[in-house]
Formats: sequence, C-alpha cells, structure tokens
Amino acid sequence: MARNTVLVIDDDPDFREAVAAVLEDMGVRVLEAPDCEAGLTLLARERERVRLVLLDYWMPGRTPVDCMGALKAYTNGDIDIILVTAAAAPAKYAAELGLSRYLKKPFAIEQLRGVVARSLGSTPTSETG
Amino acid sequence: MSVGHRLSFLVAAEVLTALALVVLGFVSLQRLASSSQFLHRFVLVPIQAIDVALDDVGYLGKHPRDPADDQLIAGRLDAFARHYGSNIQIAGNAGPDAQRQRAQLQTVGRLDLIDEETHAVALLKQDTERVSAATRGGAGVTPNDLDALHADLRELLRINLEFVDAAEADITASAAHSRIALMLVGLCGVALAGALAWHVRRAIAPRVSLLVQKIKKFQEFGVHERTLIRGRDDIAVLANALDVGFAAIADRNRERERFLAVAAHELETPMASILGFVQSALENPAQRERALHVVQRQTRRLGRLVEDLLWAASVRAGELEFHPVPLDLAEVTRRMAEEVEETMPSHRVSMHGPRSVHMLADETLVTHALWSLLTYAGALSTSDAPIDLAVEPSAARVLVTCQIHGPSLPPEDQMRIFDPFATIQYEVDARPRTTMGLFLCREIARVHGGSLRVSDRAGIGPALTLDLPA
Repeated sequence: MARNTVLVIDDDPDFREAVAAVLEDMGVRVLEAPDCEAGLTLLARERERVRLVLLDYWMPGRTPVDCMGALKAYTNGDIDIILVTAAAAPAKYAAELGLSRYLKKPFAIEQLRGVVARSLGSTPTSETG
Repeated sequence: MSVGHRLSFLVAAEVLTALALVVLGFVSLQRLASSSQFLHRFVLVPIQAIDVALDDVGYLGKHPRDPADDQLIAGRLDAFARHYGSNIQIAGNAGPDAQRQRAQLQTVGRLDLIDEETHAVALLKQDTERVSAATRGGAGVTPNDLDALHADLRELLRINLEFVDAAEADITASAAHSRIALMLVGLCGVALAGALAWHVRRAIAPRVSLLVQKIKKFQEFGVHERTLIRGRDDIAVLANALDVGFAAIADRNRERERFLAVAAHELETPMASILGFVQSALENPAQRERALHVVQRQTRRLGRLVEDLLWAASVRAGELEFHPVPLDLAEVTRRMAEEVEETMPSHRVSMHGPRSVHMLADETLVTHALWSLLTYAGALSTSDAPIDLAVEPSAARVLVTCQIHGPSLPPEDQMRIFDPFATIQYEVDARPRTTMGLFLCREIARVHGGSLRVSDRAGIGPALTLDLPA
C-alpha cells in the first residue's frame, strides 16, 4: 500500500485548506483534522497510508505535549511529524515535543513542498525542517 | 533600630562633645579672667601703691623741703597704711578673693605669709602714725624714721611679690588642669563619635552595598534575586520594597514578553492562510476565487487584530477618539455576528432581542467592541456550542449579553481578562490568548458612559454583559 498521505492537524480551516491545495497539486493525498482528537481518529483509521503529520502547536482540547504523546503511540517511529506553528520560538516548542523538524508560519510553498517531498521520498529521518 | 535613630545618636554624640568642649572652654576662660582680675586687684594694685609709698618716703629724705609737704606726705603714708590694713591685708578680709588667695598660699605651702603681712602692716601703721604725729607737731622726720618706713614698705613689697609667685603657680596649675580636661573631653567625644560612626557604618554600609549591587544587576541584566537582609529597620524595609517592586517588574516584563509572543502568533496565523492561498492561486488559477475569498476573510481578521493593538495603545495614551452618531445597535450586532461566524466557522451565534434598538453611539467603536466580545466568546465556547447573544433595551440602557457555553472562568481569570497585556490559557483551548480585545471592549463601553461585566452561570459558562446608555 502506497504511503503518500499527509495528515494536517490544525484548528484553522483556511490554513488546512491552503496546505491541502498545495499538496494535492503535488499529487499527495491530504487528510485534515481540526484538533488532536480528530487527528488521532484519522490516524487510527489511515495509519498504513499516512507518511507525514503536519502538527499545529496550540489547538483546542489536548495540550501539545499530550497530543504529541498520543501521536507517538500511533506512529511507532515510521511516520514523520513536523511541527507547523506561528509561535515566535518554534525551535523551542519543537524541542519540547521531542521533534527536530518544524515549519514556521507563514512559510513559502517551496518550503512546504520541500519538507513533504523529503518525507515521502525517504524512510523516516530526523532532518531539520 | 532604624537608620534614622542610629544617625541621630551619632549626631547627638558629636553635638554633646562640641557642647562639652564649649562649656569647658568657657569655664577655663572665666577662671583665667578671674585670676587676672584677682592679680590686678590684690597683687598689682598693692604693689603699685607700695611703690608710690616708697617714692613718698624717698621724698621725705630729701633736703631742703617744705614742712607743709612733709605733713601732707606723712598723712598720705599714714592713710595708705590704714587703707592697706583695712581693705587689702588678707588676714582681715573674708571676701572670695581673699579666700582664693589663702587657697593659693596653701597650695604653695606659704600660709605663713599671711602672718608676715599682718606683722608688716602693724609695723607700717605704727611707724606712719609716729611720723605723721611728728610732722603735725612741727618736728622733722628723723633718718631712723625714714629707715623704719623703708624697711616696712620693702617687707610689704617682698610679701606681695611672693603673693605674685603663689598666684602664678595657681594660674599655671589651673591652665594645666583646663588643658587636660579639654583634651580628655575632646578625646572621649571623638572616641564616642568614632565608635558610633563605626557601628552605624557596620550596620548600614554592607546592606546598602548589597542593595546597590542588586539594583545594578537588575538594571544591567534584568535579573532579580530575593535579598536576605536581616533586621526590621529602614534598610530592611527598603530591601523588602525593592524585592516586591522588582518581582512585580519582572512579572510584568515576563507577562509583556508572553503577550508579545502570543500577539505575534495571533497575527501570523491569518498571515499563514493568506500567504498559502495567494501562492497557491498564483500557481493554480482555478484556486483564485477561493483564495480571494479566504484572503478577504483573513485580512478582515488580521485588520481587527491590528486595530486591537492600535486602539489599546490609544486608550492607554488617553487618545481614543469618540464620535457618537445615531445607530441601530440590533442591526450592528447582527452584522458583527455574521462576520464572526464567517471568521470562526466552527461557531454559531444565536441572537435574541428586538429587530431595532436605536441609540447614540460611536459606530466604529461599538462594532469593534462587539467583534472583540464575540471572538472572545468563540475562543471560550466548546466546539459546536452556540454563542447566545441577547440585546435587551430598557428606558435608559441597552444590555448586550454574550452567554458562553463552556467551562467556568476561574475568579482569578475574571479579574485578569480586562488587563490590556495579559495572556490567559483557557481550559478548552491549549493556546494562550491575549486579553487586549476585552480590555478594549471595556474601555469602549466606558467612553460611552457604560461598562463591561463578567459573571459566571454554574453549569452553563461565563457571560459577558456590555451595558451601554440608550
């Protein structure tokens, strides 16, 4: 089964839609979730297809650390997770969640394409976004 | 003991020392003046008188001379002898000066001079009476008489010169005593003032130095550590006040930094959607209409956030402009509800109240206040729960109540939500949010002569009531 699905977990529907538009143009399948709970539900259902999770930091519901803990339990190390946040210190938040890759909002489409292409075209790594 | 008391003791010690030295100096000068007066009255004057008497005796020994002059001079010598015996001679004098002279003689071990003076005065009286009687009777003055008078007067002169020696010894001793007393008082005063100054310095200087270091550290690095300054005096109070003040400043700085981070996040979030759609639309023309729609909505949201910042600054500077015009508050509220529903698609606003509520208000400000109120309600509402918005006009006022369906607002947050630069993290939302919008909403209510209140209905959630004059 092809693992070319990206799960976007973000409470801003416009942002999710913008990311989906860009990635779908790349031929990537995109799943959207407005919060962590919805993201976990999708991940449970589509675990075998999802290769990358683009995760917002602050969302309704679970705290970022709780959300990250729950996601890691599903990913089992074979799904990349990239933090995508508008926070002023994204590196700090990424480190807090144990992530080495992040995207700072707002970002250029090329950056998004780059990190997605790297994830989809490789086995899971710890490269910096 | 307070710093003021310590310094007062130091100053008091110095003042007392100076006062003691002045008093001692004054007493010494008084004694010196008294000794000088005594010397003049009881030693120098008698010696001068004796000298004059010796001149008179010398005149009596000259040849030739007028018998009338002899009689006059002999009478004068007799008067001098009697005057000396009754006014000057110490043995017959009980006055303070005579007592002092006796004390001086006793000090130098020459009390016998009093008897010698008595004896010399008696002889002088005897001889002057005889010479005076002789001259009155027309007889001349014999060489034996002259020798006797010379001898009496020289004896008296010798005794008075010995009195001078005794007085000089007394003055010298007195001056030495004064010098020692002045030195002792001065040294004691200096020692006392020095000891107090050392004590004051030891009690104050190290702690003041600690405070100065603390202030410098805070100025240079913004670092604040609680200072352990013992005692209950002014410095300890000052240290405590500084601790409290610095902690408050540090807290406020941290809160401002947090506010800036959260405000930047709130501004960049719509920017991310705008940029994403714009870039996508540039590459894919089919996306343009959708992109423009999103850009319009997010730009409006961004504009409101920027307005929040600008108006919050205007309010704090007291420069918020207020231009009331007749308006329909119900219509404005409906419009804002639609805008918020569009910006926050996951929330629905349920409006209650009359179709029209006419009043006098600043439309721009009221519109912004309603937007702040509704977006705050949206942030706090649990997902899918509607925001109940009620417009209730009465004779004099209009109440716009925004009932949030969500968790209760803790009492401490009920106080903080009107702080312009606070950030609060709510139970339903992992994201901290700025309170600037509600601060602005309350200030807008105030410039209209109204208010913004928060209350909490158990089991339902917090309610915000905008109270405006009709």
